[in-house]
Amino acid sequence: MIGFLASLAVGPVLIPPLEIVATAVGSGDLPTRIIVTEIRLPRAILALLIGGSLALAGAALQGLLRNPLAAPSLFGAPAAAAFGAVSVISLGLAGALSIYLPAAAIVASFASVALLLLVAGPRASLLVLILAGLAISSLAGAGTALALNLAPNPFAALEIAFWLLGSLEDRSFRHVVIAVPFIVVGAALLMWDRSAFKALTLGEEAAATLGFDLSRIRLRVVLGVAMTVGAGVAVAGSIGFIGLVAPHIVRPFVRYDPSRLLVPATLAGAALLLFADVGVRLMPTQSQIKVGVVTALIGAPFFIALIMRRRHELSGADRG
Amino acid sequence: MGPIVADAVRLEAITCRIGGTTILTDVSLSLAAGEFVALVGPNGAGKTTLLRCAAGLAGYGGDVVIGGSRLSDLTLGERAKTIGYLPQGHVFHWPMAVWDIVALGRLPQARGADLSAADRDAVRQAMAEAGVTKLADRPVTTLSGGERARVALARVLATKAPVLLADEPTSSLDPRYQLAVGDLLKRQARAGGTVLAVLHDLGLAARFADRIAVLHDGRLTALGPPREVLTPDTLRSAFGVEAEIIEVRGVPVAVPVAASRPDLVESNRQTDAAN
Repeated sequence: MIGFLASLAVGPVLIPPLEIVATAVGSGDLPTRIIVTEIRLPRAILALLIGGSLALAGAALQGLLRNPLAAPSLFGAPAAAAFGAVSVISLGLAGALSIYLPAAAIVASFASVALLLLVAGPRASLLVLILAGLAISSLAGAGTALALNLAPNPFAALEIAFWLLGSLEDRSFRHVVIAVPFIVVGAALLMWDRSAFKALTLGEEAAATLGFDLSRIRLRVVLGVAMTVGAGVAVAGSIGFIGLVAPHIVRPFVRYDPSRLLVPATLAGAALLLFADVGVRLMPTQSQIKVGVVTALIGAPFFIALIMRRRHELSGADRG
Repeated sequence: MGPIVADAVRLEAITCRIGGTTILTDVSLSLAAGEFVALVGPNGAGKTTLLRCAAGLAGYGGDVVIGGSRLSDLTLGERAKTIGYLPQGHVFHWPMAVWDIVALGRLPQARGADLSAADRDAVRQAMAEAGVTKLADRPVTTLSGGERARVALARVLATKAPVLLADEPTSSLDPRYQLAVGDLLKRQARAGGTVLAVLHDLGLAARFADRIAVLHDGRLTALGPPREVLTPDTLRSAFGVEAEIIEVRGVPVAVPVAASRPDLVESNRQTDAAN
């Protein structure tokens, strides 16, 4: 709530909270109203939605893989979405804020799932899925590099590079409308299997004998991640590490139960991205730092610390 | 427990191939309700695979019939309520509390929803039977190997499934808990359950199981009451050891004394023939 208000208040023009309330009830002067409702409100809503969906996707994947180091980028959907968006810019079909761009990103995200299932097969094991996801990520990354390479002019290249950094700047309600349906359906898919994530703490065979159909669960999670994360990338570019960090922060509070983790992780992710996005507006830099850069700057050291803490366990034990 | 049915579990001519290798050939084995059968055999004989087939985890030729229904006709949910399966190794990926782990055994009944009073009773009872009540709040990853084994067993007991398939439930347990678990499996059977457990300890198998099934090279080579199965000949052909059978309190105990040498086995046969 505080974060949300702050997100509405903070920017080049600082708007006191009282005026935001005034705007909310329909009074207040026109410029303020426009800044709050047209510029900052969609930005705040997107921060909540994308932060939340990234964290939900991370928590669900970590549950499926029984590994706290799993990130939403694992199956290649975010990289594919980025490639879809970038190729639209590169082909000169759209500017970074055009509506075609998120559409292309979401299409690419779905294409990556289709390709993943084609490569790995319908009843693939987890390891094969991960390898196939890695291959698709690499392919999409190469495609993105090619698009950058072939950019028609330096401005397009700069536009692509900035877009890839991940930002919530200058997004409108149109972006919210594009992202919401995919995020809602994707989130529902990820929530669907929450008790399976709990059972998976016993390993795949024991979970199967508790009545869970693991190949269907894998399919739902892959699709859910592609939809939530794909939609997020589509409107905001690549914002990393929220999906890794948010579940980790709240995990001790739910006694490490992977099913009870999903909702708190979602809330934590929403709050994290919202605050990060307020943070970039408060930083006294010449050009505004992209929020994706901030989450990566904070998230990557966190990831390193996590690996070092679990180093022994990861190298020693067989976690198959 | 479910209704008592003769031949609660019937494995009919089970054949299993994994990656082009034949693991099981034509294994037939019937267990009555109320019966505890110990599955023994050398490493790589196919014991775990047979258990996995019976639980529906591995593809097989032949038929698995549980309580009169073919396993392939049961839904995953029905299987989960009928068969409690304890895999080898006792893996726990998250440091969840012991209570929460044992409560996973109620998932077939209480899918996703909160535990009912009956569910909680089942969890409490299973924890008491496996001797892990005191560990309820401990993160499972901080427990010793033996404690983990008992938590895993409690999780399976909490399902209250009439059929219990346990893969080496007593490995990593000290003698006291080996006895306790053997006794527990026997009591499960006496209460109307059907128990098929892979055991490596032949003494434990002889002491608690009603019958012992010997698996060797994917085939069932001996099946019967412990006294009939635990003979020097069976042990020589299945395990490749020379063993003496002694009796302790009426229970046959096999004491391996030497690894069999093929020539030795051969000369024994000749001596037998000469006699």
